[in-house]
Amino acid sequence: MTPFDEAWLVATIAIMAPLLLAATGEVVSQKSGVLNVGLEGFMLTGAFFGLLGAASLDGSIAGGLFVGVVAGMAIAAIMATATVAFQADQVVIGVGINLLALGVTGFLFDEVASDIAITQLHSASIPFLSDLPFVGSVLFSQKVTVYIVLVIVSAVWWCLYRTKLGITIRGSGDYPSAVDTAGYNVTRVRFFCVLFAGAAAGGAGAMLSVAEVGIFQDGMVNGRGFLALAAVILGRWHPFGVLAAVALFAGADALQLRLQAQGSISASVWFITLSVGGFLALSGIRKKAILQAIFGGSLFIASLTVLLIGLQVIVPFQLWRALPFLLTLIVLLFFSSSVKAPAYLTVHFRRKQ
Amino acid sequence: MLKMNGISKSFGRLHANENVDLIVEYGEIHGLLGENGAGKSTLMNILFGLLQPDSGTIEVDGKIVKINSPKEALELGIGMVHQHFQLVPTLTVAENLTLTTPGPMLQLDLQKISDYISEISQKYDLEVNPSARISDLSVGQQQRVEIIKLLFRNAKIIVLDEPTAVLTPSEWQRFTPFLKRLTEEGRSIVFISHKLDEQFDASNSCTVLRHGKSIGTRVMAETDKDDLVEMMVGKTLAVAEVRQTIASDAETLLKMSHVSTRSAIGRVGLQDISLNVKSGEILGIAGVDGNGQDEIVDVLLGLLDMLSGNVELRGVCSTAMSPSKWRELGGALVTADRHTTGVALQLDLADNLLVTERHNPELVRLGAFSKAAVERHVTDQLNSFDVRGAQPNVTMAQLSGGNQQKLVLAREMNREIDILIAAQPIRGLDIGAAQTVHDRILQHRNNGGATILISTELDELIKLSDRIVVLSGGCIVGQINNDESFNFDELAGLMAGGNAT
Amino acid sequence: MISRRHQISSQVVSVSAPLLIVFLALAMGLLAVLLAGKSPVDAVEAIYKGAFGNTRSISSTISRMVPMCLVALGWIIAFSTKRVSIGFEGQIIAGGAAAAYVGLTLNGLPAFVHLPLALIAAVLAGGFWVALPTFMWARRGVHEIITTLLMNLIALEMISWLVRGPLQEASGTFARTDPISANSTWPTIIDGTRLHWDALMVLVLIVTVAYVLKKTTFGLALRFVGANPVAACYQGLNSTRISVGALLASGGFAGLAGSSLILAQPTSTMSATFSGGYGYEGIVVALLARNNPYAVIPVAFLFATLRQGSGLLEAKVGVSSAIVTVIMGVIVIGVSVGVLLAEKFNKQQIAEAAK
Repeated sequence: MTPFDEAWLVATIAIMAPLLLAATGEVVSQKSGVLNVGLEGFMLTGAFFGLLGAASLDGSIAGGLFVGVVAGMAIAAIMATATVAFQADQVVIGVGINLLALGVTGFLFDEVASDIAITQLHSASIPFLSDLPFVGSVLFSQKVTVYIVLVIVSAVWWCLYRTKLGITIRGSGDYPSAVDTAGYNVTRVRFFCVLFAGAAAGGAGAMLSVAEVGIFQDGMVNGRGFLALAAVILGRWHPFGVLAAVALFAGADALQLRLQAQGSISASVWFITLSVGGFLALSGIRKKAILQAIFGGSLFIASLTVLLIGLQVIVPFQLWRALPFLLTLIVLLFFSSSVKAPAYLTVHFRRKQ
Repeated sequence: MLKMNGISKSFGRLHANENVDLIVEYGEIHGLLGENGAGKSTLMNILFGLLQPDSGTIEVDGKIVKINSPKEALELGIGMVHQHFQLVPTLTVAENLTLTTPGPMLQLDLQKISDYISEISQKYDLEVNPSARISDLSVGQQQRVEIIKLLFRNAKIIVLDEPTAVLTPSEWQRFTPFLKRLTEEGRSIVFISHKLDEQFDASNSCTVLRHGKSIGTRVMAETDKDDLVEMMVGKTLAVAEVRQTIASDAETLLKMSHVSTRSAIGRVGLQDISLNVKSGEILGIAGVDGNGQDEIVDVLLGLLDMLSGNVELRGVCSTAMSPSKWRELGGALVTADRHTTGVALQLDLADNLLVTERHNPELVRLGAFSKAAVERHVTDQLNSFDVRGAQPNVTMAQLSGGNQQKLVLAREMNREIDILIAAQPIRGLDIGAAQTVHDRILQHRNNGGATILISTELDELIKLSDRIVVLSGGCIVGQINNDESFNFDELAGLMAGGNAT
Repeated sequence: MISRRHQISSQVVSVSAPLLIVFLALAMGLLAVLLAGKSPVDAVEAIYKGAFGNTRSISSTISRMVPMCLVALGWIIAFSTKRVSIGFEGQIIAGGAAAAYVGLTLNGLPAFVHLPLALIAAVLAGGFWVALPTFMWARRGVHEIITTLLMNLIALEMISWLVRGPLQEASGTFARTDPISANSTWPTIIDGTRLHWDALMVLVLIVTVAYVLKKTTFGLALRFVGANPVAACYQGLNSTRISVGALLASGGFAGLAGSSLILAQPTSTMSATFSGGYGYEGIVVALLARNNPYAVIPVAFLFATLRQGSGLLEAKVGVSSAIVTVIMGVIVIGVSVGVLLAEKFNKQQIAEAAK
């Protein structure tokens, strides 16, 4: 009985949505040269104020999402001012933002808003299409927010690769001097991109609280901000690459939930590790990368052994949760030559006289 | 078409341009000639709106204009191709061009731009593919993209700043006809280069700058190399130091035999370099920056792998050389660019002096520096070269350039050394300090030490060297003995890119 | 040349700017308390009492300083070669887990062997946890910010598993370990308080690190590599090797911080959340102390006071302790920007004086 069934796909796509939104926003920011370690803080801010907004607007989901987006932008404005305008260190400010968001939301939650709850968003059903077998429930019966996110991802791709704005943004991250010489204000471009990342992350956070569960809890963002950062790296700073990375993470997450119910890991999972191991080993041998070949080979052999013996392996759910980070590390370790971050990421732009 | 009248610009006490006149006619390729530091870059930065002149005017098409920014310059039809290309490596040619075109942000007409690029590329036979990524293009192709950028903006006056620094000889051969074709349509080109051969190949006429002043303008057809060299360099007044004859049995301390290295981006490949230095000898290496000097230094220090050839120190083949081993074996290095390779600007003077003394038993006890001994050492060092403005905990960055250089010299030369590599040792120093440096080098020579003197200053080389080799494009193109048979023009000719006769 | 007067005035500005920001941040926090309908005076009193009310609380405050100082030292060492490792949280977890393991398993050892063994295990574990990011930087050129961050996140999952799995207490009721053998824990300096001898160890380490950086040849090598790795190479230093050493050492310090969190605390078990954010706070402490080992002490003291006092804040005054986190966030952002502005101001003053 493979866990990779319809229910798994439905869950994957549902889990994907907020993560994808935050990651896509971060792609724009990093493409322009700014790293947001404080992404977690952006999401937390959006989650809290989004719910607060929704509750104040009579449980309006759209209103809540909107407030979340604005809140995310507001805290991102602090980040942008400190790092882009004043050129403070991006990582340090990011840590500060996380503390600030954690503190502010925690404080307000305790003091003001402990028991706010609204009715969360229900899944929509696109007429006709949702009646299709399999595809109907997986793709066409998700919540409206999912579709909105997919539209945004496409729009971001289009903007980055089919408009002059996109070229300016990409130039700001790869070689800001050229953008500056062409007469554009690199600072302004980066500022705008950070705000966009804040809006997206804020919206993503609001999706978690307003659309998913209808309440706010301490720690509900639960590391998704960092997961989004990992997805940006794994996705090679391209919106569709990030889509694939987020899908991978979400798939693993959905899988983990199913397996917790089922107990042990089914054979189909091991087939996947087998192929991954084989791929790594083969490409390692071709590249003459010994470390990679050994790693891939071991993974291959281990998976093969488990499959042949029919071993029932119980994998702690923490390994699943750590899997996205491990995957990102592995990709960075073995494929670092092709993983090229924007050249001027975290580098402040100063015009040379 | 373009007239720069009486342009003057000073930076503090440095007069970068003094009353410079430049006239460029329609449809002409006008060369701007001069050594490093002659004032060419400053003049062009003024033309391009990056700097404002202290006095003087600029006329375009007969009208006096004020150029306040590169944007304004472009609007007037003046475009410049910088030495460092303003191209985003990860974007395609067409995408880079869109950066420079005005237009709404949310649109992109890549097709129109691609068509234009293809058209121009065809017309001038440039072989530039609009959808190629910049990082995939050769440097020569990238340069052509920069020119296409200017053509797209309808530039009438194109300034090329040392364009051949990045071209292979074959690329250069195709470049000249391209320039001529550009001018056929009424455009003018200002061609900045210190290489005489190229000026004769490409330019119609040229203006020579020296030490910030414009010396004169010549029509290429009516002049010759000697005339231009004389204008560029001036009659040298340097008198060679009294030369000690080098004993015929003097030991060869350093020998490079047929050394070749790989070329790479930003690295010139050395080609079959052979040189040697004897005890008591000063070997001068002449040539413009970027022709292999850095690479020779790196090979000698063991920082650059050789493809072939070897290096001998005192007759012993030196394998596994490293900077620390070089010092141990009695070598000293005064690097050409102290900010990058010589000192740490954020650390203080003591730190910069002590970094090479970490294993000196007189200063170090049990891994720690002894305060009293260190203080004495530092004071002695600073005084020996008269480093001004120095208390030990002043940071390096707070010293003037000249004093920084003096500190480096103190560090390198105040010990027992056999072989000294001095690269651009008096760059940035005033006359008094320069004299001190030269005296020390001569002292080192008198004590039997060997010196490799790398310099772009002919005066310095003539004053100190026993022999001078000229480096160009990674090869030694000639050697001249600095004795009675010395011919200054021959040296200048070699440096200007010709071959030894 | 900069005149003496200018040197002094720029020092004054450099020091007073961060102090001013801290003061403003605290004031802002008190304002928030006021707006929440509680008395700021009560809040200040609660924090004071919580941090200094009796011997016990003072000792707790000091004991909180220990991991902060150790992480700060680790940061200072790594950053002296310009490596930006933010992996201390993960290294704390690795070090603490290793110390807990030694404390739980190797029973029957005399205390003067057991404790040092646990400490060594912690140092090695911390170094191990930074080894992969170090390798990836040295050999593959991958920036250590990303890799150390990922290692942190992995460590959080790992500790969650450890205390629910292999290291879980025998009764299997809670997500924590069995009590760690008292033999392997730090003895207290004053009985009945939370002041252990590891505080003295930290003091010694601070002095040592400051000494090494400033006065030894090794320290000079570290600083020169950080200031100009290319020039360091030409002057005979192996920049990569030195940076690797610095990174591994910083991991060791963080591992030691983890061991203190396990072996010098009133509860004798290890839970999943024992690292408590000290890995990030230590970085902040180091930055606010401008990478000066001695200045780390007062900054850590400030943060430890806020942390310790916040407990009483909630209990006595009914104000959410999250306000302290807000204050810390404001301090981080404010001081970072403030320091830059102060530098800019100083530079301008010098430039104008030169005219």
